[in-house]
Amino acid sequence: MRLADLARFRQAAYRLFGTTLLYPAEERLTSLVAVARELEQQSQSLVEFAFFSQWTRFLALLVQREESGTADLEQAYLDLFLVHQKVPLYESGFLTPDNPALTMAALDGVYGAAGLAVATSFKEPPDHASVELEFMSFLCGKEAEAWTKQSLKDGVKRLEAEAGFLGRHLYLWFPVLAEQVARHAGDGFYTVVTRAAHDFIGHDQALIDALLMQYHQEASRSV
Amino acid sequence: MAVFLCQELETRGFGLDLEAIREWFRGRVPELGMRIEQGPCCTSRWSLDKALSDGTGLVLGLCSHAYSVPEFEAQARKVGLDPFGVEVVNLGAYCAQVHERSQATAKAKILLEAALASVGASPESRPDNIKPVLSWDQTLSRRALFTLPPVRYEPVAFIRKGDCAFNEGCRVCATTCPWQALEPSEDFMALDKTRCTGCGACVSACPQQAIDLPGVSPQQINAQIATLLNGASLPIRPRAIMFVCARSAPTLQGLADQGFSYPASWLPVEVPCLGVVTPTWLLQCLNLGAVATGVLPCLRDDCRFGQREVTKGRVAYCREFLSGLGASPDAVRLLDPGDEQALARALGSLPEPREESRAGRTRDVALFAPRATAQALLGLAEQFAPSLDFALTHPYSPVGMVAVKEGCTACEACVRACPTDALQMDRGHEDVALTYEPGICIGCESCVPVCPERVVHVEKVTDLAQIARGRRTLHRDTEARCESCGAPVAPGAMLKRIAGMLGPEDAGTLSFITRYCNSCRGSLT
Repeated sequence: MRLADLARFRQAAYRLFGTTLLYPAEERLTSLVAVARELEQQSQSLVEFAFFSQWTRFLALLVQREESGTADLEQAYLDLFLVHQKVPLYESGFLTPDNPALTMAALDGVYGAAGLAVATSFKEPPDHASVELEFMSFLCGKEAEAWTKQSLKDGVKRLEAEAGFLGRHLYLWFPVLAEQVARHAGDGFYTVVTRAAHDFIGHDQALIDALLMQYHQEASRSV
Repeated sequence: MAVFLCQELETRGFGLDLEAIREWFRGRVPELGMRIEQGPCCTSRWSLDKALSDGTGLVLGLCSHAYSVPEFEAQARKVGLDPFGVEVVNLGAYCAQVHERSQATAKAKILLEAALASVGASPESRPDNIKPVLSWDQTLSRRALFTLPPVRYEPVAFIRKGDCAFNEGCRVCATTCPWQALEPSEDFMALDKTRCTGCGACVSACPQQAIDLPGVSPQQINAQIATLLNGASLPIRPRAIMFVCARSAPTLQGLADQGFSYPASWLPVEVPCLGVVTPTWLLQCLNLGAVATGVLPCLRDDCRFGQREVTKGRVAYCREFLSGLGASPDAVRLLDPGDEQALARALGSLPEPREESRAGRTRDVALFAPRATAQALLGLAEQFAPSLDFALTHPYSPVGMVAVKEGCTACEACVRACPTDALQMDRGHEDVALTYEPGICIGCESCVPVCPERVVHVEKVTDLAQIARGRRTLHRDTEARCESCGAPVAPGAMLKRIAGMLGPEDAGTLSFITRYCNSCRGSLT
């Protein structure tokens, strides 16, 4: 598999996970189902990856939602993340619960350094799971561009940025989020979503580390 | 769960009676799915279909290990199976090719049953306990740098935070890891996956059994060994356990291919690396009825453990211990994978089975320290030694012996550092006592550097009499009580120590400190 293709797939996957963790409004769910159906058709080539089982389970679950409406999902979302707030969907909820501004400021800095800012029309804070997942999607998109241009230096730089963001932010707290969702939601929709996302992100971090290790070894050999 | 058997096993070597195996399992586990067809070892057209498994686990009994692992793993994922939840047993090399048909069939039943027990106890593989390994070519072309090479997965250690004693100060796994893959972070033990080789040394060292490694997690190994020693009442007696480094498994295949034979009593247990096999494992197997235990290491330069001398040392300890008891040291063997003839000879004979064998009597099998160690040591002493008057000082002793010299102030620093609770502080009304249970001391020396008085010492000694004696007092002191509220102030030696530090010019302060507890001092000033 070409690294550019893999990065594009990862870009789509991060975006899909991020959007699935936003409020499940009907219009949003309709487009999620459409994307899931398309990705489902392309997923057989991913069978060599350890996240395959959870990934396909997640896509199948989304596709099944087409006919079932959003009422139960909205109820589950409200119960878990909004009204009863059993599980915070924010990094600060896990890492700096007494000082959320600290995490948010740090993330604003990270996004700013990449030339991005959270749109004022967007209602969620910068440490919301969806925003962090979307940011990873953005980084993967940039990585795909680098590989397409055959720029090894730029590709490695992008991988390093992804590894840094996962290690300092997203993967520091997402496993705990997935664990808490599983505890509160049994085998419900959001358990499947967060479990699949956890498996995917964890795998991504390890894969990026393995790639970087190889590139650094290669660089030191050529020096 | 399901079992798949390659049909070529029927004719391979002396052959296995596959129908007899099917019938036997049908009687024991009626719900078990079983299929007998050509396996991936014999045909490239083999495919894993959903009907074979309900997703809870699968055991493959194959003619050999000659099949594509990544291809098999991909097939497993396709049908929703966790590839690390599948056990592959090389029934060709371990049974059909080396034992006559009835013995080989009986042994195959035991091995399959043990594999099922292991699969049943297997923790699910997660992104946290596996790592992708990229199979790059040695010489990379520029084009290759833009392509993802084939990915395979290797198991790595995973610490269950809820069971880990990191916050109580335990660092045993970090000090055991030969690759510095485990490093204390702010509030947990962090694993650097890129450094972890999956040798399993931390798994068996962890006194809390808080570390999983797909394939050798504590529940899996306990279940597997219990079944091998106590499972099916089959005519394989006596039984001996051979821990085989997975990378050395081809040696046994080579032995079989060359027509060497050895007693069917040897039951192989494949582990990712012998770094996980401790003296406690080796001795506990003997204690629970095995007539011998052996370890078959790898000879590769890239040994996952990288410390073959430790494996040798562990075996040497076991042999010396057995000698000391008056038992045959030959019951624990370090096997040589480099010389097939010598290996066949080493496997060819077994010690005489004991009359009072425990085989089949003990259901509750535990191989992991600390509790299993004392159980194994005392159990073997009961079987072999005329008395418990035996002590062995050895660098690979699985137990230690703590001594406290004069000068202890009962500050409890050692108690807080002890990961197994071998050291405890008992507080009575009048006095305090530092107590110690040698049988659960793993000799980790965590208590030594934390002692501010430098009076704690640990020796790597297996002292049976002390272990049998159980908990005892190492140090006793009076406890001063608050004149105001009666609460404990401090042990007498601690107050003396403070007096020594303050000197006579601070007699007033000292008197105040000695007479009142912390909270009363606050309210009185």
